[in-house]
Amino acid sequence: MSLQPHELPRPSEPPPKALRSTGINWMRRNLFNSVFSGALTVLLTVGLLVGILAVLRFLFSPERRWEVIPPNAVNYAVGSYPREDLANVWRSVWIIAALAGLSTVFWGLGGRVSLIRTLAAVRAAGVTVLVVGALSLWSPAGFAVRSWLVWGGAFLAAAGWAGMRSIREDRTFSAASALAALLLGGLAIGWFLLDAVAAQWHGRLVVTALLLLAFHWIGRLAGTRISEQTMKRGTTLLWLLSFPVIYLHVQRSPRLVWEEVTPWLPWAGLVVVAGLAVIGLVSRLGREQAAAVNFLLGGVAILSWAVQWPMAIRVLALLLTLFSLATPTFAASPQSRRIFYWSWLGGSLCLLYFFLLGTGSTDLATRGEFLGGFNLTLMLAVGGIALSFPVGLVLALGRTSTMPVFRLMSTAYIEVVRGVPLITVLFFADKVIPRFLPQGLDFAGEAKALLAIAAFSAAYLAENLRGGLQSVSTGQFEAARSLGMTTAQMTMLITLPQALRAVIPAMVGQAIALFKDTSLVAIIGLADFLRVARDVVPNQPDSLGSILENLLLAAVVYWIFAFSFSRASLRLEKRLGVGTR
Amino acid sequence: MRDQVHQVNQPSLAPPTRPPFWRNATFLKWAAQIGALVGVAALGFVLIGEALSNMRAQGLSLDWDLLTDPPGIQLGEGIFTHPETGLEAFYTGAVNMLRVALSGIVAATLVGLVVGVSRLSSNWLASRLATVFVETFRNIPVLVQVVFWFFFASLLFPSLRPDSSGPIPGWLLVSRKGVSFAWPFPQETFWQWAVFLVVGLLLARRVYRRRLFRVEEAGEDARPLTWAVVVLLVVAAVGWYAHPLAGAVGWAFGGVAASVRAIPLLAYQVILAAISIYFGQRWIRRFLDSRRSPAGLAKLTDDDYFRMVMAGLVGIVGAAALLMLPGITELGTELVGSLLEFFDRKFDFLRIGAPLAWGQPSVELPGRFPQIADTGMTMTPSFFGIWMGVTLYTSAFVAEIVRGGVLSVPKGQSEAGYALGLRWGQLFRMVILPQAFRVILPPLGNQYLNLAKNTSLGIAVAFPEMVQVGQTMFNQTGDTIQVILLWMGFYLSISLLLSALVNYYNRRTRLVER
Repeated sequence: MSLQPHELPRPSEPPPKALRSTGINWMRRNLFNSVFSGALTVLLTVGLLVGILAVLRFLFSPERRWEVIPPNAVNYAVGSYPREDLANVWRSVWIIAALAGLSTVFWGLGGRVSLIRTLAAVRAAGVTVLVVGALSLWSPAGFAVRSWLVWGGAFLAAAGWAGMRSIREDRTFSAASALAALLLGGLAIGWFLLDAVAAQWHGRLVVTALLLLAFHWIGRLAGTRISEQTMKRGTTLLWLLSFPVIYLHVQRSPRLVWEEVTPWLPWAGLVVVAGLAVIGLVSRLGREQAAAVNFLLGGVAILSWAVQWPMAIRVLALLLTLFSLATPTFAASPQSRRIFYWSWLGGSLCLLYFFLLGTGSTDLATRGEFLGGFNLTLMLAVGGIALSFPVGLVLALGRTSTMPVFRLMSTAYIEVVRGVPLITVLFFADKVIPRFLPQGLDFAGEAKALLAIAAFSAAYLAENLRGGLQSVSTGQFEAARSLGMTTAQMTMLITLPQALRAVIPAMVGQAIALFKDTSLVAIIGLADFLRVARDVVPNQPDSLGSILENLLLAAVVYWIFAFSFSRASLRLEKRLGVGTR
Repeated sequence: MRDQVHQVNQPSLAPPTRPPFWRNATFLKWAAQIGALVGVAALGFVLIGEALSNMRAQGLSLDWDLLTDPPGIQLGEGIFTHPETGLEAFYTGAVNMLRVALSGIVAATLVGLVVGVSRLSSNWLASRLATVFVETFRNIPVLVQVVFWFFFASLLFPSLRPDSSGPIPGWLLVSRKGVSFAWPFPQETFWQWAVFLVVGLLLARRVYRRRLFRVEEAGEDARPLTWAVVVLLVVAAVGWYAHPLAGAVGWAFGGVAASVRAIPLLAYQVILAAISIYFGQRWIRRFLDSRRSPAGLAKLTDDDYFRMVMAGLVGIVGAAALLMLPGITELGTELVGSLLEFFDRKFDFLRIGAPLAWGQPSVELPGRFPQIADTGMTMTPSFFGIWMGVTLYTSAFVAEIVRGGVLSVPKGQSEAGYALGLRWGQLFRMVILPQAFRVILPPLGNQYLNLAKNTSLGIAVAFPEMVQVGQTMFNQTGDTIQVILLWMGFYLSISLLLSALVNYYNRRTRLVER
């Protein structure tokens, strides 16, 4: 493209009329740029108006019973969790709020969000609401709804428009005031909505918000003293721990019976201390002697299942064997040895803690289902992702392994699971797992569903991870080999970090799919969010026949979560710059 | 380090000693693999033994009586609504599932194509609406959508009255008891006409290729598509009246069927076993041939040996199974024979009449309550729910795949097309779509598979597909393990079939590179 100098518009002159960015010109370019396009625009506009009117007639018809939803908010949130113990649920919300506050330090709120794009989005939303409000004149919507829509839309559109205009003309002050007005308006609307739905929880919601803010600032303060990497790792670890803490401890509220624990607890403590000594010893020994010690340890760990030692000791012995096996490879230097001591201590103590929780009897469990509603959906989604990741990793490594038997087994598992629908895997877990267990023994339905979802998702995750593993270039392996790395070191330090970075977007996509798929547990009779919406609320005597309203609510809630995850994943993809480096 | 350098410089005179077997990498690898195999087998053995003893304690067993016994269940719709045997029930479920899956795949492809192309449209409104469509339907769980459309149909559609005739009388009838629309139903002479259709398609393809050759080589305006369509229509029109001539095809089928039945079972067994062994040894021979490079056969890895042993084993085990279990061969010949006889029965010189008959929706009043008559094609609310749910959900993903495929075509291609004077439609059909298709096909095949698997959600709206039938069955009999094995076999074979098809087309349309 070479422009002749005389073709360039001189900067002092205003641009020719046809290029000026006016509404008419915009429409000419984007809606009526050809005969076909113009016809399409007219057709679509008519269709859109008719469609919106139909939806409004449906939403505001006097037959719709939206008033049944606010009183059932607790049912939606936690299902049949005992109402007198709701404080437990709030505690877990607060844990999540505090951790979210810590995490916001890394999100870099502010600065990354483009002001003008936000305002443009606000303006677009305002115009949409205004149009819908105008159309609602031809619908059975009540006066209050109509005025809310019209005035709210007009306010948003005006605020967005004013803000954009003042930014374009570089009047920072009025842009800020437009934003402040927006924020105030948003807060007012939010408070109004909260009042309608959750008036009795104002205090607790305020505590949640305060915790979020407080931990954001705690994180910022800590960030001045600790390196960002340590902060990130610590926060990730806390997030990982929060899941079992919330679902095994806070919400289950187990009661420890000391008489049951005392026979084995001191021995378990001894194993923890002995573990420190073993790791110290093995890391100082030569390869042959270390292998001999590991062989011995493995023998003890396996034999401990034959003799009836307490379960906690058996599992701890297995964990110790795993740690000791990894020691010669990963804890050769004094520095990495120190990290290894701490990991053993943390890992074994966590295991012991969860063991105490798992064996402790609880009042809640004896009262029947205590997980339900959105709480259960969230538990299945988060737990499914957390459990499927290690399994998927093992499967992916197996499928790319050079050892044919492992590859065959991984491939068979992956292809069989990917070839059948999730509902059959859920039925398998629900109906067939009890067949394999000794008579009379069975897991809770929630645990079986969690296992099924994790086993199902692991196969898909393994395929994603395999793509990542194959994307690592051969030169990397050759370099690792020439440095004298063992296969384990090469996998852990060279292959996996690069492979994981390449597949993070795909893994987020898989996590969203898993979140949506948790709704299938409603079919095998668990009281998840969808089941509350489909069966529980519409069958209550005072809300009979409100099923479409409830299903729409479920759709909107699922949509909000899935949509915001997918948007976050898009941003993550851009930030990681996968494929652009 | 120093030792190694020393060794390199001065080769020692002592013969090299092999490492002890416990430090031999090959030995360790195979020990670990065999150990894992034995461990998995032992675990499976223990679990299955436990399951068998548990089932015995409950009075159940691992037999397949559920396929032959009367199931004592009723199905909402399908071929056998009161199945006499379990096999009939599962057959009904499978056919229902295929009905949803095939019609859903067609509809999702069409909707997805339109929406995906609209997202790239220069028309602002069209692209925005398409974006809203995609973001709405792909972010709501498909189960929620299925349940919603089911209740939408059964609560909000007008209730059926004896005088109902629907929004478009004679064409479309919408009611709470289902949606019925006009449809050309195949008659008993349809198969004879189908022969003409196949011949017409083959002829049309030939004409299309010839005409296309003239366009490309001679630059004539030979209109290949128009000619192909005209040829097809002419053959179809002739066949509409001349179809009894195709009755001769029935003889051929009947003759082949009779000869298939005439050959003794043992002959089939021996021939099939020989084929099995032949394929095993051919695989190994070809594998070895492929390695017969200058580097020689010495470079065969463990993996290669494993593959060859497995190929040989599969061949031998297959042959042994065919020889020792005559049931397999009997089932195969029985299936082929009855399929041929089925076709034989579809053809007859004396059969006349139109191959298709137009059926229009209507209402009947068998007792007190009106029902949708069998005259039109009817979707029950259950079918409507599962069909709408999976179609809309999948079409959102298809739209994204189509968009990605179109975007993957370099911009220079469309610029070159416009420079040649192509119109937008021509450009899209002849330049962009063929190139985008290569990118679109593999993920599209995956989406078809997902749709096929998602039809299993029909259980949530009482649509009698495979999973719903199976669940009803094991609620009656308690034979969960057998039902789950049947499900796995069914869905796995559909997955394999679909992915084989996709792979076939993938190979056909792959770029031939130098």
